Order: sequence, then structure tokens, then C-alpha cells
Amino acid sequence: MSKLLEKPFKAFTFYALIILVCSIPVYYLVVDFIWMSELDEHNENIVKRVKDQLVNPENKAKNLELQIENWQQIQPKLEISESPSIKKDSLFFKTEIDSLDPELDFERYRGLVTFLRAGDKSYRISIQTNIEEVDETLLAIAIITASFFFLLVVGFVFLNKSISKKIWKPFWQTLEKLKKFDLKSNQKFQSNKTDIKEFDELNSTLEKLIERNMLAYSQQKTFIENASHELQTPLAVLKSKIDVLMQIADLNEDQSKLIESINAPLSRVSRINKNLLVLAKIENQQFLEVEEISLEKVLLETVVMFSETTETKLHLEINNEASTSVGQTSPRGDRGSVTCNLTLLEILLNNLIVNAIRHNHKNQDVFITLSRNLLRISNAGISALETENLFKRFGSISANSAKSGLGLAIIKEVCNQYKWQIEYRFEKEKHIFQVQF
Amino acid sequence: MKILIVEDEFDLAQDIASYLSSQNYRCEIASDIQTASEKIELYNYDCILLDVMLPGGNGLKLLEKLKTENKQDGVIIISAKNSLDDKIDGLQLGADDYLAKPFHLAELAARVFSLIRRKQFNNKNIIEQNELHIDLQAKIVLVNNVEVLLTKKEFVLLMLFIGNKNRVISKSALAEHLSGDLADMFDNHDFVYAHVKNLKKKLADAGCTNYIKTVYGNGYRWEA
Repeated sequence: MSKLLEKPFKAFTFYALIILVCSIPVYYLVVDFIWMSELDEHNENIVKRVKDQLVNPENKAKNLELQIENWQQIQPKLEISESPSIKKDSLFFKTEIDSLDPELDFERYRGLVTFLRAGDKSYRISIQTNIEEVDETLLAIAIITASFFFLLVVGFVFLNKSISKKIWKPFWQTLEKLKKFDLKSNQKFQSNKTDIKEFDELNSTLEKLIERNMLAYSQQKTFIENASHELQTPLAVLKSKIDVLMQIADLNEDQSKLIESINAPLSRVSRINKNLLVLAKIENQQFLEVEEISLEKVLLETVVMFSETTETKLHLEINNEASTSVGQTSPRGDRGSVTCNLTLLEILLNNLIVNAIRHNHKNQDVFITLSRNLLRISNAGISALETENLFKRFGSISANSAKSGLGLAIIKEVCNQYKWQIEYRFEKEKHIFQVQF
Repeated sequence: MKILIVEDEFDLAQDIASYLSSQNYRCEIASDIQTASEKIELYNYDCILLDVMLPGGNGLKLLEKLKTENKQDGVIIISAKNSLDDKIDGLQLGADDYLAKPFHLAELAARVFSLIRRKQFNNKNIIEQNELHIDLQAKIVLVNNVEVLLTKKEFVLLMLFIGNKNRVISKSALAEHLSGDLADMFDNHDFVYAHVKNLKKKLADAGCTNYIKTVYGNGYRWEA
């Protein structure tokens, strides 16, 4: 994944590279053209002066041959020779080995050939002037272009950084707020003001979207609570009808068993309903009163209560000293006590223990260990549970009719409320649930 | 013993009335706030079963009315709104007990029984049935004047039977009575057997007649 600004940056850089590379021959051609025109002008000037001198009537007395000789000596690369006829002027290029350093280089020349009639003779005049080499010009232009390209890239990087810092600031702020946003917290989503139109639009769209979501969420919560409430009364009627039915004196055994078999699914419906209500209430934050509670005490009471109602053996182990190092007194409130709602804590412990007992394999013993603020409950099992949907509502529906499918969801919800860590793992044929208070 | 049932669900009110009538209570039904408050003004009841959500208003208003008029009627709130707040509000306003719907009629009968007993037989709250003698206040059980030592659970169980004489009490009602909310977490109510068996044995050992009859293995009945 690359950052948003890196994409145009790459494109810009690539584009700049192409343009600059293309500019190298263009520059070269332009420079060369200017050079050439200058040289042609220069050559013409010289030739003109030579011609003027040669045909000057004041100089006629002098020897023409001598003058030609002189010119050829004074002016390098000027050649004057007799020509049988007069032709049109022409320009030419010529490359020859450097006379000073023949091994290294070729020298390039621009030349002009013109003709002159002096006296009764025709003369051919040619002049050559040294031009800058092709490779030298190209190299210079390429170096300059490369440096400009480098400057451009550095500038892009710098601009990119400062732009992304400044312009994208509102975006990052919104993103940060979105990350921290919790639908359940019931707090409105408030984005920062921004003067950038797109971000402003994004923010206001987000606010609307979240508002609708919050509304839907709260409607869902109240719906669940209301639905459960509404179900309570017909359930109550059903239950009382069965109680009344049982009182009929001359029921035979089959009828009796039939009635009792209605009781089982009925109590399951009641249980699901009750648990849904509990969940809705936790989510609606109706358990607000908190107090400092001794984990040890509540756990002990819960275990005692369970041992009277189940045949499964519960082993409770509480070790407070284990985690206190020698010579160090652990601070108060650290000795296995938590600040929370008592009802919620009881709900949590009940559900954890019920879960362990209900899913116990072959009625083996259930082990409950409390080490300071770490509670571990383990029961025998055959294979590990699927962890993905473990804590979701009705996430692990199985043939076991006793389950309401909500126990673990409630456990998770209570843990969420107080930011306790709940973990599940399967070790040595044991299901282990662990809560870090 | 007069009981007023304030409940808008007619079927439920009828069932409660017929069940409680079998325990020798005279029951009247009021299905809205208006009727209920008229009845309360005119008569005195030993116990009022009060639903919270009623047509015409919140049932808790009746509770306030009772208190301002200084009436001594015992009140049990029966509410579908199984919310903690209602329970706390109700009990603070002077309700004597709170029972969340859905409940077993046996449980309700036991609550009514114990409430009326508490209210009316303050000092001498004693039940006698032939050789059996129960002091509710001191929680002592005598058979032929010899004390039978019962555990807390066994005594609670005995109270449920006494409050539901000659009625069949289902295992799940027994389980709920014994363990409250925990009971409906399990489908297996076998622990009830153990407690009933122990109670039966202790009473039999003390020479008490077996009043606890098993009904097709699915429930129990106290015969009186």
C-alpha cells in the first residue's frame, strides 16, 4: 500500500524526467543553430573584409598575389586559390583531426566558400571556423538538465511532505476520531472544522452516517428490550397454564410426561429471553452503580451456591501470595479486589461457571483458580472450540438444547464494560477461560 | 384471607386466582388502575399482587397511594419488566416482595403464604399439621415434639410445600425456588431429587407421615 500523495508524486517525477530528457536534444539543436548562424555571420564578415581589400582600387598598385599570401597568413583557415570559374557561395561542415592533439579529438569546422573576380582572374575563397564539439555541448546540457531534475525531485519530496502535513491534517484528525469512535459509547461523533471543501463534505457525510447508525443501534437496543418485555407476559401465562394443567387429578403417566416435556423448551425460551434482557441492559448501561468488591468473597459465594445445585465437583483455588514478592506488601485494592457493579460481576461469574459445567466432558471436575486479579476456569473437553464466533450472540449453536447461545456474549459484554481481558484456549484436553480483571 | 390480583393479562389473573383459591385464599381481580384503586379504598386485603405496567398508569402509583393512606396490605410486585430499577423502586416504596414474570404459580403461592404469615402472625408464627410442628420465626421443625435438624435448603423446600398444599409442584418450580436465577441456567434439575430425598428421609426418621408424594416422577405434592 502506498500513500495517496505518493501516486501523483511518482507520476510527476516520471513526467518531469521525460520532459527533461526530451529537452536535451532540443536544447542542443537550438544552441547549435545559434552557434551556426553566429559562425556563418562571422565567416561572411571576414570574407567580406578580404574581398574588400582585394578589390580595393587603392591596393591595386600592390601585388595581388602578395596580398593573398598575407591574408592567408594572418587569417587562420583562410584559403584563397585561383578558380577557373565563378560559382555560387556555399556553406559546409568539415571534421578533421585536431592538429594540436591528434590522438584525442576531432575538431569540427564550419566553412564558407565564395568566389571573387579580381582583375582578370577568378578566385575561390574558403574560410573555416572552429565550432564547439557535439559531445561537449550535449554533455554540458545533459549535466545541467540532470541537476535541474534532481532539484525538481527534491522539491517535490519536500512539497509533498509539507502539503500532506498541512492539507491532509483535517483528514488525519477525522480518521483518528473515527478510529476512536465507539458506537456503544453513545457519544456523538464531532469532527473538526475545516476550510477545505472536500474534507468538509466528508466530515458532514460521516456525521450523518454515524448519526443514522447510532439511531439504528439505539433502536435495535430498545427493540430487543421491548421485545423481551413483551414476551415475558405470554411466557408467564404459558407457565401458569402448565402449572394449572399439572393440578388435574387424574392425569396418567403419559400426559404427565408430556406436560413436563413442554417445560423444558419453555424454560429455554424464558432463559433466552432473560439473557437477551440482561444483554440489552448491559448495553444500555443500566448497571451503573459501582463499588469495591472482593473477588475472593464473591467467587466463594458463587461456588458455594453452585455446589448445592450441581453434581459436578468444583475445585476452587485462591492464591494471593503467589504474586506478591518477598518483603513487598502489595498495595490495597490489588489483593484481588475490583471496582465494578456487583450484579454484573455475579452475572459474569455465574455464566463462566455454568458454561464450564454445561460443556464439561464426562462430568469431570471443574477447576477455578484465582491468582490476585487473574481468574481461570477450566473444564474437560474433547477438542478446541472455534474461536471466531465464540463470543458472538448465538455464535456457537449446537445440538445441545440447554444452551441459550448468549452466555458467552454476556460474559464478553461485561468484560467490555470494564475493559477486562477475556481469553479462551484449549490445553491438554481442557477448555480454559481466563479473565484478567 | 383476601387477595387482590392487579393484573391486566386476564388469563394470567384467572390462573393465579384459581391456583390461590385452592390454598383457601379468596381472590379478587382488578385489571386496571381505576378498578384496583377503588377496591383498595373500599376493602382491606391481606395481600395485593401488583403488576407494574397497567392500562391507565404505572402500578407503583397504587403502592404510593397505599402508603399515603397508611394501609397495611402486604404487596408483592409481579412484573414483566424484570428491571432492577423497578425492583428497587418498588421495595423502597414499601412493597414486601418482588417476583419477575414468568414465574411458577407454586413460587407465587409460597411468597404469598410467607408474606401473609409474616404480616399476621408476628410473634406466634406456627404451623401445625398432625404430628408436624413448624415455627416459622425460629425456623424450627418438630415431629412429635422432637426437633428435626434441617439444612437451610431443606427448610426452604418444606416452606414451598406448606405454601402449596395438595398442589403438584413441578421439578423446575422446585429448582427455581431452591436456587433462584441459577436454576434456569441448567436443564438438569436432578439436584432437586437429592434435596427432596433428604427432607423426606429426615422427616420419616423422626416418625413423620410421608406427606410428600411423587407425581409420576415429574413433580411432588404435599398432602394435607
